[in-house]
Amino acid sequence: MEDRLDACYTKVLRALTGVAGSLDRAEDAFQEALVELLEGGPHTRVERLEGWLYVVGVRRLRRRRWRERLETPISDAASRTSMPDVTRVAAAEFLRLLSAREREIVVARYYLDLSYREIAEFFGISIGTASSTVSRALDRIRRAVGTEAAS
Amino acid sequence: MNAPDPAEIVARMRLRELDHVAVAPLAVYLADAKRHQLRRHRKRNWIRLTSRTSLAAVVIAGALVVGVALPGLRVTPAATPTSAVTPRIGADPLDVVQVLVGSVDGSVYRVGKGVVDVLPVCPGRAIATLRSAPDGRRAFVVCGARSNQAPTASILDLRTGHADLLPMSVIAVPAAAAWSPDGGSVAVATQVCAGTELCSTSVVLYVPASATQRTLLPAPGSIREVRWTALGLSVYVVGPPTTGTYVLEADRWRFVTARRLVVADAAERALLDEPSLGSLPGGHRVWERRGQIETLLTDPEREDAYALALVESGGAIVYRVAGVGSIATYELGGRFTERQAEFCASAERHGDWLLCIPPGRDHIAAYAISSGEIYTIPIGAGVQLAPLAISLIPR
Repeated sequence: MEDRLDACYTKVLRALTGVAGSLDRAEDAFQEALVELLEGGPHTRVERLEGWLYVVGVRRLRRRRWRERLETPISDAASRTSMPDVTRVAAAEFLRLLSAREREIVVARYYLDLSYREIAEFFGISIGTASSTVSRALDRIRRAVGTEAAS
Repeated sequence: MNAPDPAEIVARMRLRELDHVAVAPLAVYLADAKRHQLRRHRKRNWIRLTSRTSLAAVVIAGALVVGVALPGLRVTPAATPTSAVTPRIGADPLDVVQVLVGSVDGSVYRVGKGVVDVLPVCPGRAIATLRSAPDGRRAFVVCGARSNQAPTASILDLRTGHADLLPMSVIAVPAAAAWSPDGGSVAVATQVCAGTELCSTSVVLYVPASATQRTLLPAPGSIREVRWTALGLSVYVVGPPTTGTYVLEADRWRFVTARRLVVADAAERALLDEPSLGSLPGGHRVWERRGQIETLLTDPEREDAYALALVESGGAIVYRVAGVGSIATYELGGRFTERQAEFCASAERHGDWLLCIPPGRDHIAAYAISSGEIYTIPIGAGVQLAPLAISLIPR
C-alpha cells in the first residue's frame, strides 16, 4: 500500500493545497484522509487511490470551512481580505476565480487528470453534473482571461 | 477533431504551478497519521490532534508548563554541544555560524554551540520567511496567515527578542525578502488585492534606520521571490507576460533567465531551477549558468532535484528526491556522487558547511561538503521546523 501511496501522495497533497489555498490546511485534511485509509478505507478496491484520498481530503476541508463559517463573527467576516499564505502559489490565486465546488472538480479534472466518470464516482454525483460544473468553471475562466487581456 | 479549448489550456497551465508546493516525505505524514490513529484506538479523546502544527503546539505548551522553555529565554536542550553525531573537533558548523530556524508554531530558534535561544515571534502561526541581516543583529520575519489573519512582516531584534511589526502586506513565501549587502535596507515582496480576484505584487524597499519604505519599479509579472545576490536585486516572476528572473538595473527590470535564480556567486555563476512539469512526485531540473550559458546539470528526463548550493570546482549540490533521497554533488556533464540524506528542499551554505531543514523535524542537518559527512543538530524535543525558514549568522 505504501508504494501506491508514495506514487500519488505529492499530487494529492498539492491538489488539496489548491483547493484549500494553503499547505497547512491541506496537510490537516490529507492527514485525516490517511487516518481513514489506515483504518481500512476501501483503497484495495479503488483503482485510483489518488482520487479516493483527494475526495476524502476535500470532504474534510468542506467540514472545516463550515465550522469556521459558524465560528467567525459576522463583523470579522465582513472585514476579511484576501490572505496570502506560506505556500501561496499562482494557481491558488487563479482558483479563487471559482466557487468552492467548481474548484474541487476543476482540480480533480485538470490537475489529477480524473475522468468525468471517476469524478462522478468519487464525488457521488452524476457524470452530467461533473461535466456541467467544469463547463461553468471554464466559462468563468474564459471571462476572467478576457478581462485580464483587456486590462 | 475539435480545437483545444483555450480556457482548458489556461486551467491546466495554471494548475501546474501547484507543483511548486514543497511537501515533506510521505514518512512524515504517515507517522503523524499512525500516531493519530493510535490515539483514536486508545480512546484518549481529551484532546484532538488534527495537525502536525497542533501537535507541536501541545508539546511546546507542555514544555512551557513545566518551565523548560519560557518565551525569549535561553534553553539548553542538552548540556553538551548540540550535535547528536558530534563532529570532529574543529569540524563543527556551530564553530563558525549560528543558525536561525523557524518553527511551525511561530518561534525563531537561534542555535549556537551548546545553546538554543527561543524567540516567540508569531505564536500559533508558522514562520514563513526568515532572513538575518548582514550584521547578525536583526532578522526579517514573515509570520504566515492563519484563518482570519493575513501574513505579517516584522524586524526581529535578535538581542532583545523584540519584533517591530512593519506596515506592509507581505507575501508569505520563503524568499519574500532579501537584505541589501550593507544591511541598510530590506527588499520585500508585497501584494495588494482588490476584492478577491485581482492582486498586484510589487517590491518595497524598507529602511529600518528611518522606518521608511518606498515601492520600486513595477515588476514585470506576479512576484514569487526576491533575492539579493552577487547579480544584484532580483525577482522571480510568473507571467503573463513572461515567467523568469529579472535583475533591477537603474531604471528597469532586466530579464536574465526564464528559470528561477536560486543563488549566484561572486564569479557570476548562478544556480537555476525550473518549475516542474507535473508528471513526477516533486523537485525540478537544475541548471548552472555561467555568463549567458545555462547548462543542465541534472537528469533531463527527471524532475527530482532541489537546487541547494554551487560548488567552486563547477557544478552544484542538489537534493535528489529519487530513490531513498540523497544529497548529490553534480559536475558539469551530469556525473554525480550522492549520499543518502533526509529530505532537504532548501539550504544555506557557509564555507564547507551546508545546513538544511528537514521539514517538520526537530533538528537541522549539517552536510560537510569536503568530506560528504552529514551531522544532526537537535533543536529540542517536540519542535517542528517550518519548511525553508533558515538563515545563517557567521561568527
